[in-house]
Amino acid sequence: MKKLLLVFALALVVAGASVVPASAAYPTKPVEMTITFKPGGAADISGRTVAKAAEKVFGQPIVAVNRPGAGGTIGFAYVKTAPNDGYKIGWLSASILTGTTMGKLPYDYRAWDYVSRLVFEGTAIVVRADSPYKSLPDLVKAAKSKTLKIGSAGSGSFTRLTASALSQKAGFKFRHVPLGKRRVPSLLGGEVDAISVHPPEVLALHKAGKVRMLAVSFPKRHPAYPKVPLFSEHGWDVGFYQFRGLHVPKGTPKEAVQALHKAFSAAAKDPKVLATAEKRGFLVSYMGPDKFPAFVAQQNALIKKVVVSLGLDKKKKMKK
Amino acid sequence: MDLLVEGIVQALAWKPLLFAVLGSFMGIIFAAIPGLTVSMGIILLLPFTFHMASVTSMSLLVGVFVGGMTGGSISAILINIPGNPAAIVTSLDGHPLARKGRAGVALGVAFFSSFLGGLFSLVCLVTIAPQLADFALKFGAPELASLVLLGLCLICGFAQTSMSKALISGILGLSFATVGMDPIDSIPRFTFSVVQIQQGVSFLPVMIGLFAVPEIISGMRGSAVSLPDFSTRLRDLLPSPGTLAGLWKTLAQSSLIGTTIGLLPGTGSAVAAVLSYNTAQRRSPEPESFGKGKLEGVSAPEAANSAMTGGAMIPMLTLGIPGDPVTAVMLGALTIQGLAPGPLLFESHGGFVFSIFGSFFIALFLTIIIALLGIRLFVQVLRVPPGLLFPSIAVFCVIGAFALQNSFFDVFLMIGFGLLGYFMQKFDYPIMPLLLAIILGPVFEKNARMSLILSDGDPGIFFRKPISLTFLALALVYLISVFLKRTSFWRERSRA
Repeated sequence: MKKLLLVFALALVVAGASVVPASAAYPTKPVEMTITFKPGGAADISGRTVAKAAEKVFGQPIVAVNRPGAGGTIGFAYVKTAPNDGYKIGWLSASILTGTTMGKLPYDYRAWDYVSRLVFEGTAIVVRADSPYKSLPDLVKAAKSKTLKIGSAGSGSFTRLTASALSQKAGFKFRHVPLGKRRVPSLLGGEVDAISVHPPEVLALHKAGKVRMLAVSFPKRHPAYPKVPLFSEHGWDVGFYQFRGLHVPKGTPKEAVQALHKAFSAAAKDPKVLATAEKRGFLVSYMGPDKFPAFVAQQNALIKKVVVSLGLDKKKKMKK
Repeated sequence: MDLLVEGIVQALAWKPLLFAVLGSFMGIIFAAIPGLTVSMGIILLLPFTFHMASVTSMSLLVGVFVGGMTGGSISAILINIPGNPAAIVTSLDGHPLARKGRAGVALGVAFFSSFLGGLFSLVCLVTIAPQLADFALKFGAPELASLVLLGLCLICGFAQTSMSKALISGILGLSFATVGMDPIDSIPRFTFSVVQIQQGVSFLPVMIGLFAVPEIISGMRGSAVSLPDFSTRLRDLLPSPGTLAGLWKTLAQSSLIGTTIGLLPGTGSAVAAVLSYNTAQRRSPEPESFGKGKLEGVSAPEAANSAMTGGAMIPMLTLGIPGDPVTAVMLGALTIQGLAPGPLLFESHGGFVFSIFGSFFIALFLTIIIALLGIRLFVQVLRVPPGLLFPSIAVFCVIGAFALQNSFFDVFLMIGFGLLGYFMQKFDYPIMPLLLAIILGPVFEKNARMSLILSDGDPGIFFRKPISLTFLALALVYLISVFLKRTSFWRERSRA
């Protein structure tokens, strides 16, 4: 009899839970945030720091879970197919645009809803200290008379697209070397003339005078490397930057998006987040759900143009 | 020297020491339990380090790193399942020794070899780190491609009964290595439009499956061999000075190989272990006794994988370039503390760098003490009835495979390769070539193709570079020696 009562009570609880609308008092339970890169990397550190700060306003834990692999596509696909109840969110980067335009993901960027942009990360052109190129114009001038070898993290990587967009703006051609994890040792060992890389990876070497950051593609000069000029200062602004922010499965309730917006906009002002940004060399720049979707669309158009000009989208056609 | 002593003193403060003990212990446990890996342990611990003081967090991480290189040998020797990629070859001789009732000696030798290998690499780290980092930069894409090709040739060394079966296993591994996004052009290969397959066949779940599942199945079928009991008194476990002295050559060359491999980003502990095992075998007066329970076969990989730890920390600390997944995590932990590793770290935070060396030193001692004290506990595993032991290993394998990347795909990968491994063992195909090819195949492809991009398609790049040429020559010599040995073997056999 006791058992039967217990089952009955349980059934009531379960039924009760499903009757209450999900949006009534969002959030009522912890939210899971997918980070599409490995623990300890740039995406992981900025994502976790921001999530930790957002919890204070959000009122529920925001649990960061790493789902790395295949340049972020594994994690993006996970968020795409997750339930759209507001309890599964994703920490996106501009890789979502390269992944979709190159056909690595079988849908385009509109397959998700975009909540907010939190940070920008720079992309720098870096040479060895003993390189003859003292500035970006030096390198561009040389690249017009001979083919330089410029390395990046990979064929479809954001760093490669930035280098290619620069070459199109400045009017030179180069041999691209997809160096993967060996990008920095390869530069130091003299295999390539320059690399396109996110500044935190070379900041310590730059400060020690082992490498030289010629210029960085970034909205404004960063306090961690104030003397490095921007692409735009030389008139070669590529227009797109590595950004990170929040996205959710398509059709997530408006209340949830607003609650996330509120919590993460507060996180963008959190002193701890700003301190980490200073140390890690990223820039906190918040944009809410009113403007962010349009920003993503604009960045997508720019990135798509470069991807198409390089013929990287052909794989999509090949597959079909 | 004064700085080192100061560093050790810093690392001996109660908090860092406490976390060093915790780290070494967790490293040993995560490496020893089949299914759980050191990479997983580090991933779980990383978020906690963000809230610790820098010396303390490094004590914890270094402890896990050092402990992990020792712990893998325990399950490799006792139940024939290496708990960590670093220990994949330790079971080859370690488990036969255990079957002969010499598990205690095997464990003792493994622990001491780990300790001495780690100590050697620490000495390199303290004394000549900047020089070694410069040396490592000489290894470009062609050098790495040739080194890895040499590693792939060593597949022949794992042919116990049939060379063709070893080669089939290796080629199967290479084929699996082509699945997923290609490393140069990012084109999905053999993915059947399934997004999850783009990440390819990652070797940790494969390793867990290949080694653990066959043992689980034979354990459940009751065909597992029970080991003879052995004394667990500390005095009987410690290898005699004579035993260690007899191993000095193996220890020296393995420590050297381990440290060197550690310096090179993207190669890894498994490579260090395999190369040094093979070197020990080739330079031994009785190479045919390897694989049947030879102490050199335990000592070589264990010294090498521990020596790798110090090697991997050299480019990480001096240049900010991580050599393996664990040092990559350390790098992340350090930068979030505002201590970006690089040439200036030694000047600006020299005391801190030496406290890392200090905690390394302490972790080495803690690890061997914990391992030796814990040995009585570990061997209790052998008394656990198979009906309890193997199901729990199965549970750990599933958890471990899942937790690496929070992905069920990896769990299915683990199970699939486990079944493959079972049938391969049943039909006498060695699994080591398969695993080695899955680990090395992508590294070879990436570096070989990158070399050709750098040289604009000219294959001469592999022969013009002296280091690369040396590796290619070694590979050729090795293949010829294997061929000659085989033919003479068959000739003698047909005569008999």
